[in-house]
Amino acid sequence: MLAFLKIAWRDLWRHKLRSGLTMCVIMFGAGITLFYYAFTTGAFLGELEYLLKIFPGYLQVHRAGYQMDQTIARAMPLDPRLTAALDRMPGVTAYSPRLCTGTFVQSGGYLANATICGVLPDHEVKTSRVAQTFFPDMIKLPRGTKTNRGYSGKYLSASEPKSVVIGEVLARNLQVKVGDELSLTTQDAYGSMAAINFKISGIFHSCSDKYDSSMMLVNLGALQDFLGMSGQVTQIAIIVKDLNDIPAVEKALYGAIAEGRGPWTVDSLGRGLWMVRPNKPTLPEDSPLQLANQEILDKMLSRIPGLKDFSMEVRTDLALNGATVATLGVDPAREMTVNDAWPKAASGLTGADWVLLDSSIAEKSRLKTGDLVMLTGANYAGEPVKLELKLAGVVAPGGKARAYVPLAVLQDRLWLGENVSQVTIKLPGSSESEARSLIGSRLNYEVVLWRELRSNYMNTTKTSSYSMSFIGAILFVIIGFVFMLTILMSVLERVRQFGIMKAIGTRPSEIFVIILLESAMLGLLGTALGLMLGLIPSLYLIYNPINFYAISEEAGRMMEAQDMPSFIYAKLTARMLLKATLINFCLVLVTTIPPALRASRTKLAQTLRLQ
Amino acid sequence: MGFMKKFWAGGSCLIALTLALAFPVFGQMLTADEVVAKMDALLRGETSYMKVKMTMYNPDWSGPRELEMFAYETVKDSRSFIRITEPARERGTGFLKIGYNLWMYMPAAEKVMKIPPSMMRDSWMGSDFSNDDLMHESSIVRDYEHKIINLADHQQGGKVYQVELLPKPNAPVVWGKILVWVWDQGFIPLKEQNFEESGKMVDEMIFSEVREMGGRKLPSKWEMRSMTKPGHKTELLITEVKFDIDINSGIFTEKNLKSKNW
Repeated sequence: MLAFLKIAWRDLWRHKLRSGLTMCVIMFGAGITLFYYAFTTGAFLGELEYLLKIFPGYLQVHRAGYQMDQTIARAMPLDPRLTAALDRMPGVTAYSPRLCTGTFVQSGGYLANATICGVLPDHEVKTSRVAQTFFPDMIKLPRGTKTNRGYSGKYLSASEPKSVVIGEVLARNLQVKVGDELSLTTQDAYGSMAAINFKISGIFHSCSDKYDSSMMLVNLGALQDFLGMSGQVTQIAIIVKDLNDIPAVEKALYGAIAEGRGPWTVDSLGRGLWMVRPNKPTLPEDSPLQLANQEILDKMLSRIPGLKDFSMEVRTDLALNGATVATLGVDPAREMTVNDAWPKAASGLTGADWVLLDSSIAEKSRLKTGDLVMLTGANYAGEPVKLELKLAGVVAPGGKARAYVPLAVLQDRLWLGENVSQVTIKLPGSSESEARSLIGSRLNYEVVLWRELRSNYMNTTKTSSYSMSFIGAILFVIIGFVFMLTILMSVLERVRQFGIMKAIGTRPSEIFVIILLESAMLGLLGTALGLMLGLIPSLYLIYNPINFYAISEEAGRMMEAQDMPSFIYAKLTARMLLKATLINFCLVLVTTIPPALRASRTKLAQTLRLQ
Repeated sequence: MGFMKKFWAGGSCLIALTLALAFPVFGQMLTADEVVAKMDALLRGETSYMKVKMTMYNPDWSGPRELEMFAYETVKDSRSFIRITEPARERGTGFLKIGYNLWMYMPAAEKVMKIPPSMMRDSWMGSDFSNDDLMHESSIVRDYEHKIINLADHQQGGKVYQVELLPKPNAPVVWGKILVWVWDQGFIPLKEQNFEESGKMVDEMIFSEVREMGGRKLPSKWEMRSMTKPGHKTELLITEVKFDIDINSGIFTEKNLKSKNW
């Protein structure tokens, strides 16, 4: 082996120019790869930070279901235990409790749609750039760059409860200025129309078209009073120090709110199975109106880690020949995953006319499979309901229910809409208290991460990151081809050498290894030098960001208007160096294989005879 | 087709009355058109004044909510006016409708607001009626094809017509189908069900407590139940009605909407 290394090393030095050229190509490849990563990652992270810090935050806490149905009916009380936990949570740099709702805002004859958020002024100003617009010193700008941000008037203060700050575009649309009065009309906690007047204390130009044209901030207490929602908020926006802190913060938040007892009854059925039922305090516990929306419940359950299966059910009492039968409306495909008593034969049940009966009931009523079963009951308004279903099979007595019918049929006939009265959950592998806190926390609260908060943005970045990956792939293919051609040329120049080596007894595999070793040496050296080359522009961009305002005033403004920073930094991490090294080195080795194979197959007689 | 729509539908009442006068009915069997026209005529006058108590039920609330109001309407020029009188939180809130325009007045802000199209689907004062229900210009007489699909006996004598209403092509309506049950003793509506175009029932209104009011026999309790939101219900109790009265045209003005004297 050492001999091969020696031969390879000498080969390189025998043709200094050729080896130097090859190494230059490799060096360039490594440099470009590193810079590509540093630039695209830096641009992405910068854009993300800018976007999330404008207003939404890196993550938000809501009452469960708010993300899907953003109405004040899904507000939550601001739990002091949660704010206390946030105050000392590592990784969290700021948070802001908000009560937000859509509103119509009117001034004179002008009318506009807007979003109004009640905020705690001190918390908000640490959390969102919208509020920070009033304090230019709070927003650090890279040296040499500028911004189009600006404001007039002053920020909210707790001492003026009837003051509002609004976006500059909104103010222009309404033809108002600082000191003017605005009328807001919106639906209050009861869905009734309510109106109030606020005085404009400040107008912000955050540069974001979205927020400048639709956002209004008022004192939290003032909005709570107006809507009749004392102590309630719809969201808590949270800023973390680093994206990598998010999973830990998410976990800690769920932990902090796990004890929160919400309007649910959670019962253990044993063997990792749990029964969850809504238990709204405004209704008796056994009311048929104790219901949960199927779609929103589905979303809540999807946030429970380790959840394996679940089945949504509607519970009611029906009567068969005068005897009461506890009945569940179920979806067979789901129910069989959480119900051991579910008969195997009934796994593929579809359609809307089947019923499964307790075998003892079927026997007593002398019903056979395929017989028509008449069940009667009542909807929540007390009106009689009659179901005519075909007996599809029997279940062993002593299970969850004595009769099972299609979920959709029961929902339709009992006027329940898209709601269910209970859900059975399979959550194996957790202790009872763990499972209880996992379920309880996700039924009452949701911690929504930025990917979901800004799903629109995520979709655009997904396409742009696809196109960036595509560009990256093209780049690598080009680099690979250049490597291969260079190495191929260097092999073709040396056919005579390989012929002689073969003539003195070198095996083809040995020639193959020698060429691979040559490439490996060049690759290592070239990559090392290349990384240094790549560091130069990367480091430069870390300290001197690309400034769109320097390109043109127009370009800078356009970036800011679309919630993007007007400057791009590069970002370097040890991981990137490693990634660039690996990719480049592997590329060199892989592209060496075809030329090396060719060299190893050198035909001795032909190459030597020609001379 | 909500309650407000009934009060405020366009000039259909005139057409209905003309129809009823022009084709006097002989014999027992009525056509579907006649049944609907007579029912529609019963619930409306040329002009009307009424006092209504609205009770709203929502399983998420700790109890029902009540609103009291009075309303003026003139059918001919499609103008109406509503003022909420109770409770204190909503007192003084007013609505004015002239033709296709709807204005709202909120005493807390002392501002008149024209309700924009984007708010039309919103609930009216938290009830199961929408602003659109108030505004809608469609008429069950004019915009639908009528068909009697069942005739049954009523417990208290007389017959109950079950009429199916399907929208005429290009009619400006929201529903795909309406079913009404009409009692031929005075052509009092008993029940009405509204269906989406997909055939799904959206809500149901039950009429009950027939009483002599304003010189007519009318159902005084109207109960609207949502089929999509279980437990949501809005009840209207008509406490006073006057038909065919003289209404000062000053009532249907923005000045009156903002007035505190009422």
